[in-house]
Amino acid sequence: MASTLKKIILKSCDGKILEVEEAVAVQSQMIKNMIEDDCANEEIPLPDITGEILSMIIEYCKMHVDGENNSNNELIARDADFITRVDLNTLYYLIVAANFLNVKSLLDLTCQRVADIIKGKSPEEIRLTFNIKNDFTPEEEEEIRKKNAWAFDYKD
Amino acid sequence: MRQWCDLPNDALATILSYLFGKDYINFLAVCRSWRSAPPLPRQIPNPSSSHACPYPSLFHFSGNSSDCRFYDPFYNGSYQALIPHELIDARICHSNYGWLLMSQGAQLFFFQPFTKRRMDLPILRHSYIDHIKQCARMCFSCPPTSPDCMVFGIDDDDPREAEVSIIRRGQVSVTTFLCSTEDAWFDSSHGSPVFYKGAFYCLSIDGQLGVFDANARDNGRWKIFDKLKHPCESIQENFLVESDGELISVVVGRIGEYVRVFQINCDQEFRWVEVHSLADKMIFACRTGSICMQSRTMGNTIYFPNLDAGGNGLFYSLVSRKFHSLELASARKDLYDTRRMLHCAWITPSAPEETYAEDELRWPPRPKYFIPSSGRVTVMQAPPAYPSFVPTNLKGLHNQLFFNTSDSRQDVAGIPKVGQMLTAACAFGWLFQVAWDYSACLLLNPQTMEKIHLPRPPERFHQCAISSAPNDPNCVVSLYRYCSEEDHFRNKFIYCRPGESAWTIVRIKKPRVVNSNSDNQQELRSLIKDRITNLSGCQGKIYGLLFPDILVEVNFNPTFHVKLVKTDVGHQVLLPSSTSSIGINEYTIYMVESQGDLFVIRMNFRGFTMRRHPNKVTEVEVFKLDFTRKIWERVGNLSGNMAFFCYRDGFCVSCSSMEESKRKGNSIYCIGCFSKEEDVYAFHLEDGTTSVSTI
Repeated sequence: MASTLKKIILKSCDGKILEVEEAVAVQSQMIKNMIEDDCANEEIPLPDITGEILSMIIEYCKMHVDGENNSNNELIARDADFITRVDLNTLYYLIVAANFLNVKSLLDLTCQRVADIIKGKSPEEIRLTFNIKNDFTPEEEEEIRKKNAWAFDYKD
Repeated sequence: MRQWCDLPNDALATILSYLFGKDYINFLAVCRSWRSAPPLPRQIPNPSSSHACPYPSLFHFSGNSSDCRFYDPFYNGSYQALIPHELIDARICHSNYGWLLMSQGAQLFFFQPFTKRRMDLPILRHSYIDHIKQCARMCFSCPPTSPDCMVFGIDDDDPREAEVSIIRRGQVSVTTFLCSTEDAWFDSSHGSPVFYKGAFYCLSIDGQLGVFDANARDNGRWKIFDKLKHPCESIQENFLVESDGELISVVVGRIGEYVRVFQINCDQEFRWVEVHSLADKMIFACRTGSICMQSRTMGNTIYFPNLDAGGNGLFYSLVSRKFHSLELASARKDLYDTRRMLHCAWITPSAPEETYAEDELRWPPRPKYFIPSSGRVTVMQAPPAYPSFVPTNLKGLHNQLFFNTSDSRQDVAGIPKVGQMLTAACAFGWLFQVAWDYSACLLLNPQTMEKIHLPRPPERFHQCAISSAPNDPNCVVSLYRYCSEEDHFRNKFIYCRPGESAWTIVRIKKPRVVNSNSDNQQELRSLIKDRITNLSGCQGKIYGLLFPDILVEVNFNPTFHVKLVKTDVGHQVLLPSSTSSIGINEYTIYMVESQGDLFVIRMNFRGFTMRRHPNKVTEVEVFKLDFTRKIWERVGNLSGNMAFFCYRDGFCVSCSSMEESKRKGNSIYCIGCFSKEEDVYAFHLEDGTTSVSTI
C-alpha cells in the first residue's frame, strides 16, 4: 500500500506548497504522465495557478477519489454544490487550471457551468456577462447574421 | 486581469459541446477568439455514450413549398428556414450524423439542411431503379463523407422475400441481394433500419429482427430472428434505436394509446425484455431514424414527431406514462388531435464552421442530372359554396350519421330520413339516396330537406354520380354497372334526368359498323372490359377513371357518349407519377368535383400494405384537371376554405366553406378509411402534417 500513500508536492505560482496523495494527484492527467515518466519526485511548479485555485482543485479531486464508492447521483449532487459556490472570476481560473492540469471531469464541470450561463442569452448579453469586447467589424457581424439567420430569427 | 475571450481552445471546445441550436450559434457570434473555437469532432460520436452531442432538432417541411422548420425540443421553439426550391418534392429516406438521405425521382442524395450541402449518389442503372423505388426503408452506416459509408435499402414488397441493396461509397453501382426468409413472414416496421455492430438491423412490426451483414458469405447474409416478438396488442408503429451498445425498440399503440420500450436480452434466452425506465436517456423517435442520447434534465422521455395545436413538441414520459409538452400543464394520454409531420427527421445541427474537402463531398463519379420538379399550381380563392355533408357509418348501415362541415357547432347530426336509405352519391350539396332493397331512390337536399323522387332503379349498380346540381335542367343521375368476364362484360350506364319517368340503360358494346382505326378499337376494348371507377360529375358531364387511372368522360347532352379523354396530340390523360417515388407499393385514388373543377386525391402508402394504416401514408397528392390542356396539374395548396372529405374507398366530397367550420381548410380528411370508424385522419397541405381526431 506504499504507493497509495506516496505524496506529490505541488507549488503554486504564489509560492504555496501543497502535499497531495498520489491517488488524488493522478486525477490530473498531466501529473499522472509526469509520475509515469518519473518526473514527479521533486516539487512540481505550476506557474499559472494560484494557491487558492490549486486548493480548490485538490478539494475537488479529493471529493472524487473519496466519492468513488458513492452512487453516481451523489457525486453529481456534490459536483453541483461545488460549482455553484464558484463566482465567475474564480470559474475562469478554474477552467484555465483544469485545462492545464488536464483534469477532464473538472474541465467538463466548469465548462458546462459556462455553457449553462450562456444558454438563452443573446451574443450581446453573453458579452456583458463575461465582460468581453465585441471585436467583429460591422461587415463580419452582418455576415454572421446572414449565415445563421435561422438562429437569430428565433421565434418563441 | 485576464479576459474570458482568452480561454484555451480545449476549454472553448468543451463549452461548445454543451451548447446546441441557437446557443451554439450565439456562442460563435460573441467574439473572434470564441468564433475560432475548434469545431466539434467531425464524426458525431456515439450519441448514446457522449454528453458532448448537441441535441437534435426536428426538421420538417410541407412538401409544397421551400419553407422548412427546425423544431428545437429543448427551447420548444421553431427556427424557420428555406430549402432549395428544387428540393420541394424530394423526400427524406433516413437521417443520421447530421445528414439526410433524400430521394427525388430515382436520384438519391445526401443533404445537410443546416448548411445546404448536397452530395449526389451515382445515377443508378435502370435495372436498379425499380428496386430503389420499392425500397421502403433505407439507412447508411456512417457519415457519407467517410470512405466506409454504405447505403442500405430493403424493400418489403413480399414479406417472404426481401430484396436488399448496398451502395458503397466510391462505387457507381448498387449491389442487390435477394433474401429469402423461407417460412418466416417478415412485415417491416415503419422505422429505419439501424447499423449496429457491423450489420444492418431491421425490425418487423411484431418485433422480429432481420439482420443483414454485407460482409458475410452468401447464405449467411440475411438472418431473421423470428422467435422475437413484442408482447403487445394492436401495434401501430415501432422504432429501433441503439443506446449504449444495446438495441432498443419503442413500440407505440394505436394513436399513442400506449408507448412501451423493450431491450434485447442476450444473456439468457434471446427475447425482448420490457424497459420501465430509460434513466437519463431520451429517445427521439421518427420513421426516418431514431436517436437515443443522454440528457441531464430531460431523461426518461421519448420525443415523437408530433406537435400540438400550439406548435409545442410532444414527448412521452416513462414516469407519468403520458404525453407532455413544455408549454401545457395538462398531459395527454394519447396522440389524438395532435399534428404529425409527414416529411420530417430528427437532425443534429452540425457545426456551421465544419469544412469538407471537395473530394469528401463527392461520391464519384457525379454526372449532372436532376429530375425536374413537377409544376405546381395553387388554387386560390373559391367562391361561397354548397354545404357539404359526409355520411359516416358508425354502427352498421342502418345508423348513418352526417358530419356537417359547414355547421359551426361541428356536431354529428343524424337526419333520420337520410338514415332510412343508403347514400349512394353526394355532390353539389345533394345526396342521392337509394332504398336498401333498391325499391326507390331520390335526390335529397339535407339542408332544405327538398326531395326529388326518381323512378325505381332497374337493377343494382356499382357506382353512381350526379352530373350537375339537380336544379340545373340538364342534370343527369347516372348509375354504372360493371360486369366481369363471366357476365360477358356487359358494362352498363343507367341514367335518368330528374322529372323523367324511366331510366335509360346503355350497354357499352362494339358498334356494328367498324370504321375506326386500331387505336379506337383498343380503346373500345378497354371500355368494354375494364372497370371504370371514381365516377364524379363535373360541368354537366360525368368523369371516371378507367383502370388504373385513364380519364374517361361520359356525356349525356345531346346524346349519350362515353370516350377516353385525349390531349391535343391524342394521348390518354393519365395521372403524373408520384413525387415520393421511393417505397410506394400502393395508393388510393379519390376523384371529386369542387366549384366546377375536377380534382384527384392520391394517397400513397408505404411498403407492404395488407393492413392499411394511416401511418403508412407517405404522401397525399392533389391534382386538378386543366380542361383546356387536358392534363392533371399538381396542386400544392388548396385555398384555406377548401377541404376534401374522403370516405372509404373511392367516395369523396368537397367543401369550399371551411371558414365556417372549426376544422382547418386546405386539408384532406379521411373518415372510415382506416381501422376505426370514429377516427378522422387529416392531412394538412399547408404544413405537410397529419392529425387524428374523433368525430
